[in-house]
Amino acid sequence: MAGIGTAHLRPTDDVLLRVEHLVVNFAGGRGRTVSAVADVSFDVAERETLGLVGESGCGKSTAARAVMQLPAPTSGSVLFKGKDLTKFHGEKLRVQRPQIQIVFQDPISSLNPRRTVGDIVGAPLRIWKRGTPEERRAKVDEALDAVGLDPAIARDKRPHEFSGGQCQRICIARALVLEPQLIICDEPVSALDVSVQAQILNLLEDLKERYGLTLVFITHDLAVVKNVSDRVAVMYLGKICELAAPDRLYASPAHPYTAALLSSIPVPDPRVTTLSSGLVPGDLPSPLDPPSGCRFRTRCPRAQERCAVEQPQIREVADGQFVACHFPLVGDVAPAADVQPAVRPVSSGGNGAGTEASGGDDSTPEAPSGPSDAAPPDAPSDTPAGAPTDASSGDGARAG
Amino acid sequence: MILSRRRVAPVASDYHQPGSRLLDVNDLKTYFRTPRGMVRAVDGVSFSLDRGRTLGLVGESGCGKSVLSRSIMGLLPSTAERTGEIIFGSERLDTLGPEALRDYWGTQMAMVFQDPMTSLNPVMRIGNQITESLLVHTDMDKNQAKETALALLKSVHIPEAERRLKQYPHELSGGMRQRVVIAVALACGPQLLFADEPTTALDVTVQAQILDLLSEQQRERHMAVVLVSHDLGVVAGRTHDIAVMYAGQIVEQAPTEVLFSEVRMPYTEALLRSVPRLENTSHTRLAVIGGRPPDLIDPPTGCRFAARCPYVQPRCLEEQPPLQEADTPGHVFRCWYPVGTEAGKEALERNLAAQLPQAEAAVSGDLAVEAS
Repeated sequence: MAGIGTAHLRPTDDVLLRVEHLVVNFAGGRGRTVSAVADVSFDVAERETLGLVGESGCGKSTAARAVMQLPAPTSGSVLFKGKDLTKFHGEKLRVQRPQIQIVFQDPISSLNPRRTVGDIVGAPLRIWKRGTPEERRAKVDEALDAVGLDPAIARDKRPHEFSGGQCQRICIARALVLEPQLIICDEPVSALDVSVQAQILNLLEDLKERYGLTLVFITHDLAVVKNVSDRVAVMYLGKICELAAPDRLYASPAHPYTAALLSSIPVPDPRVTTLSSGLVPGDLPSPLDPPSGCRFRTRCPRAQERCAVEQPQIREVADGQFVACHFPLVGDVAPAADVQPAVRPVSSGGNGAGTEASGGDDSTPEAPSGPSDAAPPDAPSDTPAGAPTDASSGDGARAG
Repeated sequence: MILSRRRVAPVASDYHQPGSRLLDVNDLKTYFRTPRGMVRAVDGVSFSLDRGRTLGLVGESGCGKSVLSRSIMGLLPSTAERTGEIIFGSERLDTLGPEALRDYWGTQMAMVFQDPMTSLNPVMRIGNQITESLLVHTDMDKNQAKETALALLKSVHIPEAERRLKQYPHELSGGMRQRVVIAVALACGPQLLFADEPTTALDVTVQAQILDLLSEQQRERHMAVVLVSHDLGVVAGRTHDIAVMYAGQIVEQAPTEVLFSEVRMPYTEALLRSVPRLENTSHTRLAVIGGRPPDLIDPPTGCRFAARCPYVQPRCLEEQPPLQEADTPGHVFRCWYPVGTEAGKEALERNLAAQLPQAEAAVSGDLAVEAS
């Protein structure tokens, strides 16, 4: 993982948001630097939902906030409708802000407890002096209605009178009221119960349809992100590992980290036995001192010498599936053959085979598209079955 | 302590015969006094647990699952009033005061809490936190306790255990801290472990590691475990039985596989359907449970789920369904018109004909699931 490069970006004309080489560093104390987001590029087409998924500390929230210039990124560009937001400051930046709104994780702490809901949702309109008070009121009512709250009842209540799910609806209404084009949803359902989570996810889908919204949806929950996204970007330690349409990503993950994440998800079905040995060992390395080369290599079952030296470039391994890995799980070589070098760790022969496999990937796009569509049930069972042997060797390597 | 000190008993196989009863809870009620009235957080819960078995306790927040496990442990605030029988082994725990219960905490039953950041003492070294309970509850001297602590840290797969003993909690990652919490809970060899949302604060890859660790320790020590979670996925693969709680009551309980294949209670069905599934294509419409759980100060007279239930009938609003037996042994549920029966099917059809919103939502969700 640790991917750099922009192979996965689409032509600028088609996209609403294009983020290139985004870097966000924080001071880590004692002169050290936390590399929270390290050269990340992604784009979002109009009316599309991009899912950003990864474990805590992978930089997904930081990347999305850097898009809003909260705070401004250390370097890189954020092109929103062709204009680079990083070049704007002060009032010039402020006038851009209504077009991008954000919905935060904890709905209760992101609402002012002393204001009425009508005030909260109407605040953006007052700040931007949109319309007359009557028009504003009508706008607020419309937004509340759109998120499924009865304006007549909700308007004069305060946040504590609502449940968590309803508060999240209020937050969404507040984000909608300025008619933004892009909404960044930062873990909007993580604090909610499953039954409420389903309501909010359905609501976001409806609103996206109704208002032609573009969404960047950040979550650590892979099932949620699959449900809402048109494209999913998997992040690890400040880098993008893999980017693909969700149905493909989940049927045949190309990056070992994606595969490990998928096999870690607890499945609400006792017949599905989670193969614990398919899991990645250990914890996330410190972003103060990220591993050289590929940042995932310290936990990767397929890591070779090359991974420590050379940072993988993002490249297309299948139609619309981009991965930053030297030895991806998807390619024109059969996965079984591809796995073998990793079983015997760090051998030059393994290296060579992996390189050849990856070299051939780009030239044969139609080969993977057939099997992955035809046999999605096969792919998940294949992944855990292949992973155990790898993981055990990875575990040993880590302990040593 | 005046009471007899218990040793960390080595696992004696004859003592832990499978199938022997460890815990019996009968009609447990835990009410909290509040300015608005009594909150019936746990309202008439009965279940039993055999040695070496795992019970999953699932439900939405506020359903009483955490209060239930704390009630059994006797870890309740002074505003709580608890009635009902708790029989642990052959002794009544419900009649014991906190002093007497101290003899059970740690040595007989222990708890792993949700948030490993706050359940460890931030100004105490890891080693001392583990040896503390060993020194209190057993006859070990300091050196023995330290060696046991080291062995415990190794058994929960903490690398460089020797060095960790001297570290403080903030020096460890979330997953490592939860391993330490588990080591503390296991220190005195409890026979019953409550794991209260042990992985909710952790990342998915770390969650899998911690759940594996818990299963492994359970097998080795032949402990009974109560795994509390809001996530059906977490309990599905790792429990023998599952009890689903709603509004302070157990509404369905069954062996894990039976619960998923022969759902009877509409609430369980709704919960299962509202979870986004990996096997569904993206943008699959999710089934939703409308409304919210009832007020536990003044719960409805009939079925507590009636107001949100797609199968609801007039009888459900008036009479509370008792916990009744299903076809499979060990499967009980509370419902007048259970899912998967003629009565349930007819009830749903009547509601659809009457265009009851929650019935329509349930069916449209159903279609979306089947279409994928």
